[in-house]
Amino acid sequence: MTPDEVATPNPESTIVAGVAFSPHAQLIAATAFAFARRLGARVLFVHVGEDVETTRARLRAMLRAANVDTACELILRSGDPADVLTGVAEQVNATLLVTGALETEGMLQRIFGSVARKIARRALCPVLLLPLSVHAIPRLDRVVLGIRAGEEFSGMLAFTLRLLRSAGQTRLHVVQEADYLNRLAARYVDEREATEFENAQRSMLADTLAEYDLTGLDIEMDVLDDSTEGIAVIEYARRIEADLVITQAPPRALTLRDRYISHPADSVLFSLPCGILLYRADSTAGKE
Amino acid sequence: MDHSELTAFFLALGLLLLVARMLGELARRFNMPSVLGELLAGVLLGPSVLGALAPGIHAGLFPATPGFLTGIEAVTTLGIALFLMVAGIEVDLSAILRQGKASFVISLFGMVIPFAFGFGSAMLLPELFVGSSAVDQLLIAVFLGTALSITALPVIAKILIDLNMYRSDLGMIIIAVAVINDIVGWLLFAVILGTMNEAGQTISVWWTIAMTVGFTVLILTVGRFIIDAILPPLQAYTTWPGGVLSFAVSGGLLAAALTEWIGIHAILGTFMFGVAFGDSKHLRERTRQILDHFISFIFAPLFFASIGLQVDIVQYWDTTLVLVVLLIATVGKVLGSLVASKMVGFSDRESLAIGFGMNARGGMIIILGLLALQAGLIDERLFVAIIVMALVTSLAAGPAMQWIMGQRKVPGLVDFLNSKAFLPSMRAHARDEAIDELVAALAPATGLSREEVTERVMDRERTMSTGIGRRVAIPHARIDGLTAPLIAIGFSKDGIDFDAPDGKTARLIFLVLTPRDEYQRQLQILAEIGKLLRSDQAVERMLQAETFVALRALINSEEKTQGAME
Repeated sequence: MTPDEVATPNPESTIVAGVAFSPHAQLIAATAFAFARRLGARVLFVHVGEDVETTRARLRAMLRAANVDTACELILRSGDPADVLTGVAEQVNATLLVTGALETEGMLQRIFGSVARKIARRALCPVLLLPLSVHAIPRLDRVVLGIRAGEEFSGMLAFTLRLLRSAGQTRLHVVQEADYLNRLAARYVDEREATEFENAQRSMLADTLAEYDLTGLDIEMDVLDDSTEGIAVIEYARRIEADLVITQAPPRALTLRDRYISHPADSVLFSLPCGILLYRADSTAGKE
Repeated sequence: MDHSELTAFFLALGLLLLVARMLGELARRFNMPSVLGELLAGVLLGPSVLGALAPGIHAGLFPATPGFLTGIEAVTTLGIALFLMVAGIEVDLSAILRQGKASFVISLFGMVIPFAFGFGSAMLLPELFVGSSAVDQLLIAVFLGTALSITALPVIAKILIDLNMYRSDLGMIIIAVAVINDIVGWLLFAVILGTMNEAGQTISVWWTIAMTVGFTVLILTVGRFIIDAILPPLQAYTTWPGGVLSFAVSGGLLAAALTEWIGIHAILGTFMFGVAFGDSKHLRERTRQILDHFISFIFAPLFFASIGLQVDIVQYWDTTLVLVVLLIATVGKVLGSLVASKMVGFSDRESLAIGFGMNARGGMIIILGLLALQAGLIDERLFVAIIVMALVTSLAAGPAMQWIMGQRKVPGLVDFLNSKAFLPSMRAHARDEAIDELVAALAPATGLSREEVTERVMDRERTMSTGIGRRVAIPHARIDGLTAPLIAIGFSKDGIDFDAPDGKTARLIFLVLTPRDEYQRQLQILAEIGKLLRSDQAVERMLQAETFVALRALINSEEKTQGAME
């Protein structure tokens, strides 16, 4: 996709943003609005609560304070926050769902699931989660793309490139997390051979990237094999002070088993130093 | 312990560890498991050899005084407990459980068949197995069944890597199956030992089962969440990695105390704590590695060597029993794994190979045997037979698999070389020309278009340069339609700029083409080449080779000396 195409407003494309009454909501609203402008999409603000005029007015005031175009649509709907947000996003076939997240999840949230986790699991589209630690609209000058060995990620890469180019950025950190098999294999090689093993893995990550068109980008890559999946990419993001992490969304089902055995994309949410975008392939493909 | 006992205690431990490690390393040199050497150390220093040849020296080194014996036993008990914790940490429970139902069904088959063989033999041949043991025949039969269904995870992982099946989904299922078998095996074993408490008197089986299951569920839910919550602050606010190490060991020991107190064996406590700990998202690979080395190279050798001290292998050798145990162990496990592997979709030949791989028992079953011996469950004859079985199955696994996989050895670098693709003096002076020249040498063998291959290699080169320094470059690519890896080697007199990190031009260039989907194979080849050319001297030696035969011989010998198996 060329930069010109990005600039063309695409009325079909909608960004849904969940807003409440908090200082943080202003940032969420502003981010959603900025991303919508960059991507040429319209933005739809959703508030979970009763649709009464006073609430509506307060929300409008909040949006104005966030410097958001007041012509944007605003929907109020009561219900479970995760259900409402994912429901609206599904209805309008959203390209992106923006909402807040906890900076650190406690034990209870891990077992019972935080709202952010429910949204991450249920949404049919990519989800951008902004924890309280984020104080400015991500400029996308330090984006980390977390991938796993042997996993197809062309859709996620295309989406990332679209975001980067729309923000006029060229720098991208691509990191590959080692899965259990890889870590197990690395354990059975001699300590002295471990460096070669790591070099080879890095080299192969480059092989994988060679298959995609990355012209004009400034790519940095790394293979992370000291921590487990999900945690490794977050630790890397913290180290380089990234402003956005992009990685695959967890599977959509949320059964009791999923609560016990967290998917790597769930562990990502344990502690967030920056915004995270959980990518899910084409929203129509996810429907059953 | 008094002064002389204390002297003897330290002397014995130091000597045991020294001899055990020396023989262990020696065994590895000859591609044999180090457990073999470590066991041998005990046999040499113990009653079987030293005790028979020089009883005076033996009695001086290992006095049979109560203080000394208690001391040694305490150290080995601690060793066993910690060794099991490390085995538990190896398990990434989440990764295993994510595999879903298939692996559970297959594990069941992989366990039931060997279990049936062990159980059946002990029931049918009581005079052979029960011998002088005063314990219920049924209990011995359950023990034997359980013992035979345990496998050695490191062996399996290594075999799958060698067979190039590691990265596949099937590989993951096999790993999951091995892990599930182990966990179930240890649970069963804990129940058996639990019912054996109080010197052979059977206490309520149901009580032990309830306790075992209760403890396991508790540590894998609540314990797991607590560990997960404790690790991040621990790593952030304590000395790293020391803080985490002390937490791991103390946690393991406390779990051992708890399980022993509620009437199931201490080893289950450390093992399950290890599983919960190893499953934590926050556990770093480095921490695991330090724990592993500390325990596998200090406590484990001491433990394995001490076996030879405690049991006179010569005296309790019973050829019939040794052969019978070996036979039922092999037939049961190979058959069970064969059925299981066939169910997942491996070919006949692969299934059989995996069967023999799963048959390798490693050190775990020896621990199991010793605990059973100490509990009075089995007698010395059966214990010796189990040790022999563990060693023979481990030793036989590799060769048996090679033989099954078509009497050819696991392919190494040399198998991908080709005399036409050796260019002792390259004409090219620039990177692009060099790649073109090497591709041209390989192209006839691929049956693919030269331009297409060159383009793929160049694409890869543009993403990240392949000059690795030390005057070596390894341009490579994954190619569609290729059936086997191909390697071309070129020497350049003047050197070619491959943009290496050390700024030197490359004189030795390996072009590596691998089939598109063979991720693991490519990883192996690249790591192998990196290892081969680890030092400047190695690069220099390689550049001296004048003919293809000389080069092939050189690579072959270097690969051999480095490829020592665990």
